[in-house]
Amino acid sequence: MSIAHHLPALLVMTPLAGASLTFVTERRRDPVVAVLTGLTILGLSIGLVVRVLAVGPFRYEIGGWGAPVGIDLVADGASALFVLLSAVVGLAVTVYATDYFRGPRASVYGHGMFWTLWLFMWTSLNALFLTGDIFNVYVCLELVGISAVALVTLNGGSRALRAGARYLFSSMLAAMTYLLGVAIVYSATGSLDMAILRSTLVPDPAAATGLSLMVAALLLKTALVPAHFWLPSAHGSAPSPVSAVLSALVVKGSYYTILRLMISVAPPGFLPGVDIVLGVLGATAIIWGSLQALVQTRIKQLVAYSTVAQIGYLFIVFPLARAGTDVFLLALGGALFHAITHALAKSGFFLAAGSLASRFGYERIDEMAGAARSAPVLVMTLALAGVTMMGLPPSGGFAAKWMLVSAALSAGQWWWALVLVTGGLLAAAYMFRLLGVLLRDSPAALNPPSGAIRTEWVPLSLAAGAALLVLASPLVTELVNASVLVLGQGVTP
Amino acid sequence: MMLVFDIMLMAVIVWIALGSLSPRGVYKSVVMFVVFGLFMALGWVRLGAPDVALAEAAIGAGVTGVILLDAAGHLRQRTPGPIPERHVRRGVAPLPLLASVIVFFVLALLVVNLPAEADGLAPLMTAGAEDSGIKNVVTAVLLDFRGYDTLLEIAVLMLATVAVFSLRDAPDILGRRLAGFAGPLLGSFTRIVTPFMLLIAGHLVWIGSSEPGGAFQAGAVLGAAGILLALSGFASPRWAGRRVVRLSLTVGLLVFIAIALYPLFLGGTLLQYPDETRKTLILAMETWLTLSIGASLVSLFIASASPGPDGGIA
Amino acid sequence: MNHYLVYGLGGALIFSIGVYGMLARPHLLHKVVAANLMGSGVFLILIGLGNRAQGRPDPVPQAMVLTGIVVTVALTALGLAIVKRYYTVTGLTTLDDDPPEADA
Repeated sequence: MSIAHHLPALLVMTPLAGASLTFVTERRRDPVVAVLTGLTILGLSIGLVVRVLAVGPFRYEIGGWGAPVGIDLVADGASALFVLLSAVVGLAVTVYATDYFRGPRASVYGHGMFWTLWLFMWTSLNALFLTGDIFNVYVCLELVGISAVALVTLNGGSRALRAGARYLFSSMLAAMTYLLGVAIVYSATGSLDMAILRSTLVPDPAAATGLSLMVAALLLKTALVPAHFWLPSAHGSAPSPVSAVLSALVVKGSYYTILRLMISVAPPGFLPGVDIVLGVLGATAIIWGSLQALVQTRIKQLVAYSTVAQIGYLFIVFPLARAGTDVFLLALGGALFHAITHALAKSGFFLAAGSLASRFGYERIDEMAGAARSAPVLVMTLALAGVTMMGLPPSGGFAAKWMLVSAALSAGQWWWALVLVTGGLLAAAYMFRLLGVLLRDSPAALNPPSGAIRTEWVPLSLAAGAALLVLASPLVTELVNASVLVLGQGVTP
Repeated sequence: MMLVFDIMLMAVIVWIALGSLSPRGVYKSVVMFVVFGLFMALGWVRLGAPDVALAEAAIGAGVTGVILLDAAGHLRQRTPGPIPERHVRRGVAPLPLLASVIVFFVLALLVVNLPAEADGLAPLMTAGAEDSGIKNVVTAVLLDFRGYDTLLEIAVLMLATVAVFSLRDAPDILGRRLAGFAGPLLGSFTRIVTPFMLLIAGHLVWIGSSEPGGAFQAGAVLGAAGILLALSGFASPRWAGRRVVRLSLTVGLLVFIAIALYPLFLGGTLLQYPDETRKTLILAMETWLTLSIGASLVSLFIASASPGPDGGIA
Repeated sequence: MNHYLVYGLGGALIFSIGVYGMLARPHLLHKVVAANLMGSGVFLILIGLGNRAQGRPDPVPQAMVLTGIVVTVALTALGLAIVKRYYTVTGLTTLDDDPPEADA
């Protein structure tokens, strides 16, 4: 077997080994271990993308047993895309964090655990994107959840602890509900493998209820309105590198699993009405999240509510999924494109907002007037990310919304298009409100930058990547077409 | 006859579950929850799941019970007396009650309507276990067929330990005396019981491949021994510094990763143990896992346990 | 009535009790206990229904439950550590009270 075949396994084992090592090596070496791990993961992810494009989707049989006895990993276009996305955002955040956790912050005892916790989270995200087994998803979700909660409470302040506790209890509720769903699906069907489920599922109230419970639990993890109550405080009060990862990647992990369950596991018509409900909730999230973002007074809270809104776009794909192959492909491409764009733009945005907040020493938007003159790179980052979130050309946000709007119109469901356009206008409103203050011509007394230029250039590169993502659309389209989501039946064992 | 026993057992379990949410103070809740775990263990035996029964008694009731008790004690430190009225909310909340009644009826309907006979994956697994030579099928599923789940589960345990460490504001977790129940009786009890617990842990690892037992049960016993030592006021020895603690927490996962990757060099996939060394590899792995699981459970307790009156540093 | 039904229905009941506790009990320790009850309910359903296999009970649910028990104790320990720390910093035992002074 060539080494390329082992890439899915190596993508999980590398960050896992890195996490274990950072716990036992000396603390000052942690950033080095983390960056090296990140570079390795990036290399492996690129390898995986190349491999999938060359041979198409493939399964990796752990232990050589093969489903249904063993657990199989599934590498396809979509999972390779998300793994690569995590690698890019993850590496950028890692580099940023080497500066963030220096100086006075380094003396906070809990901060010393950042590297181990973060590499565990990276492990769990890769594992979640690659797994083909619904019980294994449960274990991955717990890894994601525990590392996310711990990273939110890293500051140890009362606001962070409160947010962490709320996050933890919603995670627990979601995890137990998901596991209940798995228990029912297994009891009804006798299988845990996604592809086997797809080929054996027959209309059956038990299996349908089990699957719906799993989807409902994942909605809570993805923070789709009205299950978003935990997100703004958690994302808003975490250390900035953590907020970036939570908004960019963690919510995408559970979203990706919903995609797999709704589209590649449930046969058409298996969960009647659920796709419409998801679409309506998505539309509500777009409007409600944007309106909330308009009235926030703290910069990180604004970004967090913007995430609530942007999550909504991801769910418009479901009502469009059954409206013919062309419409579905367009909508799925739009949703995945949106997921990537949002991840890049939002991580850049959170990191820049974090740098800005630490330069000011506070987070209140009204008091940040004049930032553009003293920290032009950071404000430019915010502007670029803003352009993407509004969906202006040539940003990736434009391409994503264009695809979704065209899909809605060709399906004759113009109301989704209306919501998408309104969402763009509202995003413009809250972004202009923020930029208006930052660009105001008044002297601002900022703390000097930490000296590390990576606190400015890393966010800028992420935002710029999002703004130019249109250029990558052929690659994305090719990967979408090479995914189990599109192939329907999946790769049978 | 057995059915009557089952129904009675289940009724008692449900009654205790209700009691463990009683608004009459969290101490009572916690004690009820420990009792709940013990009765659940009885249920597992009835359901032909002795491995689960062992784990439930040691981990579900034992370790969870101890950390819950400690937390209940901690939360009473500053607010002696009954909990303020608004925190317990006597009576029944209508909306959650409605939600929970709906959940129950939906689940009950599903359970009743499932076919009365379903083999699931049992035949495949039993056949596979015969091939691999591991007589305890549950162990074969855990460490062989679905060993990847177990690898990630060990990661969960270690991750949670790291997470609990990150919530502290000082690095020292060892050498601390706890606000335990130190007294002559517990001291001598611990002295007698600890060697036996170590023996039992070793035994559970050794027999795990053929009979109920294995790394988790053994690790739980090891952890319980450690917690007992901590509670009875034994400060850890000087050589057990930060390095040793962290290494003992991590070694299980590191060995597991190494053994998982080893087959890749032989042309197999992740965790594809070669047939001739399968049992040796699994036993080696389980031994190190036991150590790390035990260390994790002790650390989960000590790292967040309430310090003693002298500030906790021995 | 088969014995698997007793445990399956019991599991459903215990899960529902856990749901009630999670939603209706404000004290954070109650919530931790409630989450554990939800878990135990699922475990009972899994292993109870695994008893429908002819001959020996299905080992897969048992392995899943063993994994679940370990994961749950990890989650519980983290939850309690956060609850305790939250209490030490704010003096609160619920999330319903007025938020403490922001510590931006």
